Amino acid sequence: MIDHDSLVHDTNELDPLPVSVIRMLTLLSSDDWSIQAVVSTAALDAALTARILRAANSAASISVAPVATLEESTMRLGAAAVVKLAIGSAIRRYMSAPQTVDDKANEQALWRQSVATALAADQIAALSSTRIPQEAYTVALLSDIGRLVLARYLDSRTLALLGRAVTNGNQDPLAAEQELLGVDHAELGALIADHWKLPSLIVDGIRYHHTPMNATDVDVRALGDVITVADAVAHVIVGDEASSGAFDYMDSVERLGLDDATFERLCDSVGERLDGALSDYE
Amino acid sequence: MTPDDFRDFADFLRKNSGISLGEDKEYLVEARMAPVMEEWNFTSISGLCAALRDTGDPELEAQVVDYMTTNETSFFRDNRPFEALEHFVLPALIDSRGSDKRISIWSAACSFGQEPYSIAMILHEKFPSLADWNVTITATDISKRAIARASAGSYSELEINRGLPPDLRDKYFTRSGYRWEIDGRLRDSVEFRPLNMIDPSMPFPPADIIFVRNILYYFEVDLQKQVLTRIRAAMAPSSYLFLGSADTIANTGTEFERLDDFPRSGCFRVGGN
Repeated sequence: MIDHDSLVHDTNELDPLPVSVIRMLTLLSSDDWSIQAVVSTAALDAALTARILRAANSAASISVAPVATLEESTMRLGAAAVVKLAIGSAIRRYMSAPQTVDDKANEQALWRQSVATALAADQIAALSSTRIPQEAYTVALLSDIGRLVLARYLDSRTLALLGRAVTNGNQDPLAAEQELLGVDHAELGALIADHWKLPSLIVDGIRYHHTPMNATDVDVRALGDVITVADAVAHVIVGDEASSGAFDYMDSVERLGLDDATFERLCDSVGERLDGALSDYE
Repeated sequence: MTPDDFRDFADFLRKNSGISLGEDKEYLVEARMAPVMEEWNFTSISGLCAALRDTGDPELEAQVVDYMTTNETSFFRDNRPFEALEHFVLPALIDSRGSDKRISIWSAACSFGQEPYSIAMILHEKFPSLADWNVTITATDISKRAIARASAGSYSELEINRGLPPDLRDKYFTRSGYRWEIDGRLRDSVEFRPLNMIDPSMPFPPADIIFVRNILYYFEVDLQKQVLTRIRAAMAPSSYLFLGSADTIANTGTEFERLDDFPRSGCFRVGGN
């Protein structure tokens, strides 16, 4: 079992997210935001401003006239895309760290997994017959943030035991984490998101991203279903590099009004787009 | 660990706690016994198993049982049982116990105390009229370490976020560094003590409401029957039993009647109206 106070301490020691990112996420959680508010917030962050301008003038926009201002860039990309760029750029430096105590080989694995999950979440939200909160991409990108802190306590022996708990113990990775560590990455991720003062829908979306039916709020459940399926898509594409194992996702597929064929198409589509999305955040 | 070690370890655990370790749980033994091995300087799990087999050291045995039986839990776990407690069971008992003005509640296998404290919060929040009644909450667990932690009423940020609504957290807990400390009134309203449910020399506290959730399914069927029979004997007429979602009274031949008014609550009624 991992000492909870140590985990909480480590969570509190994490660098805060940039103010611009938190403000943008809070803006989008409210019903009355404006493009100008997004622009004003992005303008607080010079690095983000540069990134937005670069994205607006990227190869994808090559047929139209270049843009020179943050406002023009935001109009071209759309506010949602700007927020994704902001959160992704901020999260990338956390997620690209080594994943376990004694295995530095997979530095990018968690980041690739997270971006793949976010891409899948976006597409699922568009395809689903259920109303999905617009926070789906953000929650998906952040859903495994708890594994960052947890990884500090996972040596090869503990990882092997977790693997055996899943295969021999016939349980999902979250249950295995609780059984062996006394904590799971979802609740730790929620703690981190709360520490970063993110909106409650994002905090709870992370908390229940593998256990949507444990949530009482219908929006949180919808987010949980989306992330469960998106995580499964990412697991297919990225493999076991960063994943702790596969979760059962078919109930979520059904509740979202999707089917097996859609799942396969998602895997193909996200697989094609992943490298491009990763380069957007560099 | 070798198959023989696992068999011997599983036998030890069953005899001392009732818990039946399923096959392929060697990983759990290796994980849970790591701190015990470190403390007792065992270099291998086989060494630990040999010591349990050959030396009979009560302190080692108690620690092994302690580390194997302690499981994480949450406040208001599964919600539904506590809804049944608030909306049906307590009102029913207030009606039937009006002349005595006594209600006894037992939370068995209470782990770190979240269940009995959840019960206490419901009483404080929703039943102020019981202030002049004699309402007792007894909470027991096989693990002395769990009882000590439960008695202290101190929880980590992670534990406090498990099932506890923010308004109740802010009302009944105070932040202290990284931890949350329970309100003294609530802590004092629960009596904690060690109790091994399979030890016939340890009597069960008599009760009008008993919570025995998510523990019986670890026992083999015959032991479940024995424990449920003893529980039944400890229950007053027209009293209530709460089991966990994985527990069952099927095939135990006991006289518990499922409470249909609150499906999925795991609540059963014993005798009387």
